[in-house]
Amino acid sequence: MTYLNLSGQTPTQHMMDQDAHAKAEAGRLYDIAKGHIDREEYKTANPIIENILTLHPTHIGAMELKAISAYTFGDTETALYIAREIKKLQPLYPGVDILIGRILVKAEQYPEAVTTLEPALAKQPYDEGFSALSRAYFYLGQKPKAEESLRRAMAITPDKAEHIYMYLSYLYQVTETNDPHFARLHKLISESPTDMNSAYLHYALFKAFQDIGDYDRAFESLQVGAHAKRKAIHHQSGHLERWMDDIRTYFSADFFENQHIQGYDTEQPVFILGMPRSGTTLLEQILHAHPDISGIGEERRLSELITEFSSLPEYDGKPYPLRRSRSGAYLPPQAIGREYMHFMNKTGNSAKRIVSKSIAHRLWAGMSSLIFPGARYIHIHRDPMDMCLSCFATNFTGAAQGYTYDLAELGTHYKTHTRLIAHWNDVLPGRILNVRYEDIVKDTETQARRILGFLNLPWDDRCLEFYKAEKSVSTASVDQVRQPIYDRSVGRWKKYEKHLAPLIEALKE
Amino acid sequence: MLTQTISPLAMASLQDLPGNELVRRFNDLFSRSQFEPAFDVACAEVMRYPALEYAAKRAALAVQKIEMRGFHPLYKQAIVHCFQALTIEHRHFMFAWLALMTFDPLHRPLMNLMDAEDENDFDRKIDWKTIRPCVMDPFFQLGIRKLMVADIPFELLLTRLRRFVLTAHKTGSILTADDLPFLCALSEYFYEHEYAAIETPSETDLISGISEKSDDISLAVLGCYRLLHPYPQAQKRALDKNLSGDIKTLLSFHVIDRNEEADIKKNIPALTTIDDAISKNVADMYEDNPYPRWRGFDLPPVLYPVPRSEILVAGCGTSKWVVQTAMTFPNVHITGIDLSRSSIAYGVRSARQVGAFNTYFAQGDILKLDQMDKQFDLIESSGVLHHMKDPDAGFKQVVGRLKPGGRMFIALYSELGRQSIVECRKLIAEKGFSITPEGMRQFRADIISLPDEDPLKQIAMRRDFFSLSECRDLVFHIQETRYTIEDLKNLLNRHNLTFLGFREQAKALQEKYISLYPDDPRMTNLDNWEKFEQAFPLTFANMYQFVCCRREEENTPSEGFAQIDACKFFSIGRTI
Ligand SMILES: C[S@@+](CC[C@H](N)C(=O)[O-])C[C@H]1O[C@@H](n2cnc3c(N)ncnc32)[C@H](O)[C@@H]1O
Repeated sequence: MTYLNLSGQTPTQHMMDQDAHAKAEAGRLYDIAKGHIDREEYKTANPIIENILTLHPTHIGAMELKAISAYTFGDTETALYIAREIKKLQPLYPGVDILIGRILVKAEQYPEAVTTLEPALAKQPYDEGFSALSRAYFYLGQKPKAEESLRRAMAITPDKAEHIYMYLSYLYQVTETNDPHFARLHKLISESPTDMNSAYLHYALFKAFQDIGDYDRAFESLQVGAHAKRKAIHHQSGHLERWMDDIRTYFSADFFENQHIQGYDTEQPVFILGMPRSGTTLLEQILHAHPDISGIGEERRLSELITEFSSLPEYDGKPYPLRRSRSGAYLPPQAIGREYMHFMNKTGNSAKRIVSKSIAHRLWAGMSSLIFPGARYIHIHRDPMDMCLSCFATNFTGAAQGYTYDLAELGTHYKTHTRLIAHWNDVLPGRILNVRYEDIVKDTETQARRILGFLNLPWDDRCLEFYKAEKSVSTASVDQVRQPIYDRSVGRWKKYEKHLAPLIEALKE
Repeated sequence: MLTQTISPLAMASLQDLPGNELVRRFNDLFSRSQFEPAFDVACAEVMRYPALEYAAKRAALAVQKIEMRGFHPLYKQAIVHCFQALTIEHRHFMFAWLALMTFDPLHRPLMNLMDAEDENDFDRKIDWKTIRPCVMDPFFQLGIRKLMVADIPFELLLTRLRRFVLTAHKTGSILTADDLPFLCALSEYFYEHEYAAIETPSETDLISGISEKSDDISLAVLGCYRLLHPYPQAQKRALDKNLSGDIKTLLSFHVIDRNEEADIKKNIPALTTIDDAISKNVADMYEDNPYPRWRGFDLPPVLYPVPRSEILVAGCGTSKWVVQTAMTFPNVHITGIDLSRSSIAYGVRSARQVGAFNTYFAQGDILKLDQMDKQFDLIESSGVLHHMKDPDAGFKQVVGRLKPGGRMFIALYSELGRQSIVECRKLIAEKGFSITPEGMRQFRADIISLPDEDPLKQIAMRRDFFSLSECRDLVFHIQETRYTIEDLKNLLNRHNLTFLGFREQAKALQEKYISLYPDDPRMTNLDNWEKFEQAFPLTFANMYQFVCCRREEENTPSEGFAQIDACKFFSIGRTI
């Protein structure tokens, strides 16, 4: 008996034809998806990529697009898996090792990234590959190698603003007024770059002028750079501050008096609260040096869990302010605690105390205190002029800390922040220790002893030699934590005093 | 029939996949009803992300659809992780757990004890050294702690183990502090089942011998037979600051939760007066034993930010429905009322723990609802009205609290669906079992000793048979009215209500109905349902769970209800 379908084909024939159709269709879809990825339209591209992979599960091009898209969304796990699958299928596929290396850098797996990227780039030089390698070396504390890698990136694409910025800001010290970098920067600036590139170039210029002690011109460049950055990230002023006020009013004293939420029972978590550039990294490093403490740096896991999954009913007529996600997923506080603790223990080696220092912790304190009734908080305070200037002088990654690119706004933000912290101190009595950056710098031991007492841990001398600890650090203050404490940054704002009128004004009550 | 046997190779390759890919595959397989491979994928995800609630949720979804026919250590490990999840109903894993216990070579010595003919035979066969590795297995311990295992052979096994433990403890030297995890687990099992299993006079004697001891082993053993709350040494130990581990967990159920409920009870507002004689009796009955006990439950995976609807739960009991609904609709206000302050206290405590503070609880009699003036978009009253002397009077009161266009979710006993229960009630009346823990234990023991073919024994297929308060509600209730569809029609007519459909029905059942009555696509014709129930008498073995509203208001739901309805969270009538 033969099977005949309506078109008169035998089943195998039919399947072969289907296969050919599928291949052709996959090819057509690939061109469309590629177009979307090139235009950075990832959301549109993703379903098309999935379609291709359904038709043709080992379509290398589509797999690569999927890896790039996952990488861009921060899903380094998927990106890495797919890139490695490509390598298994076609070990010689050009660029696959570099792709893997770049993903590893994004996943903060620096040593593996280096061993992947070095041989791959030797075979096939590629500027983005070198800059990723430079980043890996930098976070591993190997500055000369970081510098060399970046130079090689710049040799391939000399005009890439981001690379010049990284080079001048972190790796190279200008010593004289006729350094050729000045001319380069001025030339590139005159070629009407995009806002983002203009920001990179002006921040680079700021650093160069500061290196040679020309503070007026340095500040001038900084202002132009900050303005460009603010435009580039489409910052909306006031949003964050309104949100902070909403958080403060929802988590009222009355709220805490009337709730009995069951949290996750542990004393491990320690959250550092502070503004950017207030010394949170220094504080974390001092604590991390203690054998019973593990610092897990600036992680986003708690932020993700809270904004994606947390919810509480309205309280006193006010809606729960922390949830940001429109997706329906929901987890009660105790379950969030369980997931987060699993992450913390994995990253922090199940230490007795695990310190997390995300800038966002100040927003979550109300909720995290419910999730972890045994968590402790350390608030670090720093002279507002020094801190705000340091914020203003920093080109933060991406759109983060958008309020720092305008002096007046920064002043307002600082006041909102102070109100919020004062509020947490009121409603979470006994759970927050307040320390001052300047005190830590002046007398580290006294402050460290005070903090360890608060954490209920014994004294350990290693806290004073924290800069010897072997560990990669990935924050804007990466450069300083490799050095012993220095007080150069205390009072630095005085050099720029005459330019800071808008900040001084905003800080007034 | 679906069976589950794993291919270790398949699992190994699954475990390399990134999380998002596992989720994608699970959704794909599950939506195509490929439940076995879907369960494998979920287990792989659980192994990779042991603390991820949503991975455990996926495993729980799939495990209900399969029949476990083989053993693989990975299933065991995955299920152990799932037991730690906080937002799923652990009971979903019961059948898989029982199957794995049966097939697991480690548990053979323990499971072999199930063949013991009687107590003496059991005592001859048991050897502590060989069964200790079984009872110390976390898989076993978590199972008996969390599953509310509803299985007669298993209950017998644990009851005999309990007697063994008690005797061993008395003679000393066998049990040590290392055995506490097992003793606490065993104790939690009997606590959760409210000591439904019968105890022999010799056990009663032995218990009185340890009832004043304050060491942890004695407390755990005592907890296998008695609620520890009234014992002063348990109170003292529970408040010990340095308490940790299993004994802490155990005492938090036995003592801490109970203390909190006692505190809450003092402050429950009274919404109405209670002076009806039956109401008073019912209140007393539930006062000792809040019904039903529940712990974990499936927290909805989705949230619906519906603004401002008002829901009333008339006869909320221990409020599982209240808490679940409150968490699903965080901006909706839910009022729960009940006669029993104990039950309400249980609900308040549970609502507090998860932060469901959009709930309001009060003690009140449904017969007196007209003493309140608030009206509601949705009123839920499940398994309540048929316990009233005059259900019509209750019905009238409930309808009176409905906003124009409001809806009611009602559940009532079905005469046909409860035939086997009616037989049991007859037996109880004949033999004169009293509505006391002893009477109920005796009744259960009688049923358990029946031969498997005896139709009366069917009652043991019901989960409710396995805990005292649920068993009491199932067969011992002092007041119950059963309905036929004909009665339902008359009831709705008397109160000028329109029938809008049955709730919570399996898809297969709906398909059967549609194939029989294709011209009733909305499935609201009660004449059809009458014939349907005659043909399939166990359709409403649970209850008639239905939705109704005032006549002429079918097409004009209240604003608040329309918003809830639009979420499609509640299955009303036909689910497509
Ligand atoms: C079988 S339980 C059902 C509880 C809950 N609806 C459920 O489904 O889990 C019946 C409840 O109705 C309550 N009840 C009975 N008569 C009542 C009345 N007249 N007024 C208020 N509650 C009543 C009882 O106290 C008991 O908690």
